[in-house]
Amino acid sequence: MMEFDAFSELVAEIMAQGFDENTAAYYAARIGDIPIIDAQGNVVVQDESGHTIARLKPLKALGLS
Amino acid sequence: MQFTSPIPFTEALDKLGAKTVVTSGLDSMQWSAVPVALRERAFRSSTIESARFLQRGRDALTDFLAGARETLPNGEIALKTGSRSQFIRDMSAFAQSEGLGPLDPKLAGTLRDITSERRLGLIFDVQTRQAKDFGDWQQGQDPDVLNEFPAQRFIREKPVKEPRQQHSIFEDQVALKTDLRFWLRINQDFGVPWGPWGWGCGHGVSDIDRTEAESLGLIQPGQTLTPATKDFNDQLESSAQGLDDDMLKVLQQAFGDQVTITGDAIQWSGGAQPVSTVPSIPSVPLVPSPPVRQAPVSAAIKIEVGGILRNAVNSTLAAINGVHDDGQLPQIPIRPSNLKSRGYFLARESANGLTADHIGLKSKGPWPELTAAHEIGHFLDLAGIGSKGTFATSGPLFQDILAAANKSEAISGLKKLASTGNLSVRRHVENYLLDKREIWARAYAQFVTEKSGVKVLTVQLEKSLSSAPFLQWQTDDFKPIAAAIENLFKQLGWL
Repeated sequence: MMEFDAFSELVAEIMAQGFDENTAAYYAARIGDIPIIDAQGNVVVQDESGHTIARLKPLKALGLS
Repeated sequence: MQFTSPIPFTEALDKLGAKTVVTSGLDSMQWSAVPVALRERAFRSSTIESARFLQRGRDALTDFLAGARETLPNGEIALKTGSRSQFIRDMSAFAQSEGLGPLDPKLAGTLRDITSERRLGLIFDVQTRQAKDFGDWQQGQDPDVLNEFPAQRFIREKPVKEPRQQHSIFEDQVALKTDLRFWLRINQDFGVPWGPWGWGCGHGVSDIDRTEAESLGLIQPGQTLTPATKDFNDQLESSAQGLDDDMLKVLQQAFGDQVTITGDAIQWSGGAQPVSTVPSIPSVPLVPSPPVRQAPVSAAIKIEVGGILRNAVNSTLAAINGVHDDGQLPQIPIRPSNLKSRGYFLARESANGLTADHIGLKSKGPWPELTAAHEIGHFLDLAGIGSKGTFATSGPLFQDILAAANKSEAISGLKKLASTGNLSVRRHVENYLLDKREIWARAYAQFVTEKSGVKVLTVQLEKSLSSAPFLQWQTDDFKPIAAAIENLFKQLGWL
């Protein structure tokens, strides 16, 4: 379960990778408390249908950097 | 039930006499995390650190139970502690003389005031009831008594303001006296197969004779039952042993030299040992024993957390095991987390889709048991239900559950909330809290909580509901969702 303060922290870190707030907030919501990691340690973002829509560099908020 | 006269039978007296006076600043919630092995054998009262007060209290109760008499200065012989009201009066005066009254005047007269009638009355009622009911249980395990009256019915003895759902479902049910699993499942507050059956509980038991027990199919004609005292002792002994270092450190810190630690086992130092005719009363697991499962969820979890968090995970797994099987899950670890989130479930991308990696749990989260159930819900979604490699919540198996959830007041409340907040709030609610996977995980945690009736989960669910009204469901609002989950689990052969 990801509460709003943890969510906000994740949004800020995704924005620091160059995304606008709307996109970053959407990605953070899709990651939530179910992060997906690829073989390189990047964070995989999937949409509601399970399609990969982005790969983010390892995120500190997820304990990955 | 209040006792107004002595209960002069040996088992009841031994029960109280076997308890060690233990002082500590722990409150009732903190005490609930202490192994029952220690709790059950301690004469204690939450936050009371005066050994003199507790010793006096135990002596007075023993006098009451024994009907002990004393010679007054005028030569008359009177009961030392003749009544509940005398106990309250004497102990209140003693507590005041020891300066044990509450520092905050607003607490005067409340349960947090050790000089108050309410608190002392509660101590008297629970201690005398425990002693008496233990005596009844012990006598009921006598082979001759067991043969004539092999079972008992769980009955309401007196009305209470707020009946507990987890007790109501057992009301009027009959079980063999030797069915420890049944009776321990009811008594989650005290963890023993005799009453009182919980704090403020109005239930008791009544004997069922052999004829009725046979007609109910609980026992066959000619069948002899083995008393459960040894089984209970065996169960109890193990729970004060095998404790991990973190738990031992916490207990050592709380009780100092009142406990003795030998290896991975713990016991009260210098406490009275149980006499041979009375089963030693160390502990039972913090949660009731689950039914035997062919494929329990616990088999898929490798616990890599210690201390109180380990206990929390064990409680949750026991609750889940008591509710359903899981088919075949891969094994993953549960690890401690220092992230801001209360918990997470990590998946890895692979050639065959997604695979479960591990669950992380924050040790200082507000409701770790409930969070553990939530994250296990995500684990089941990916690895336990539907096609492996994808989350099943996006498929047809979850249609009914999610449809029921979408009709609930809680989900409507979240939708309204989404329309009122700023961009981040909207995204958090719309794209996270209202995501199918997330709705499922919250629903699963609530399903396990309500179906298992495990107290710690129930308390945490209530806390969650009061801190964020729409994240979980009110019981009535949840009923259609619970029914849909039950249908799915039946389809899966998990129930």
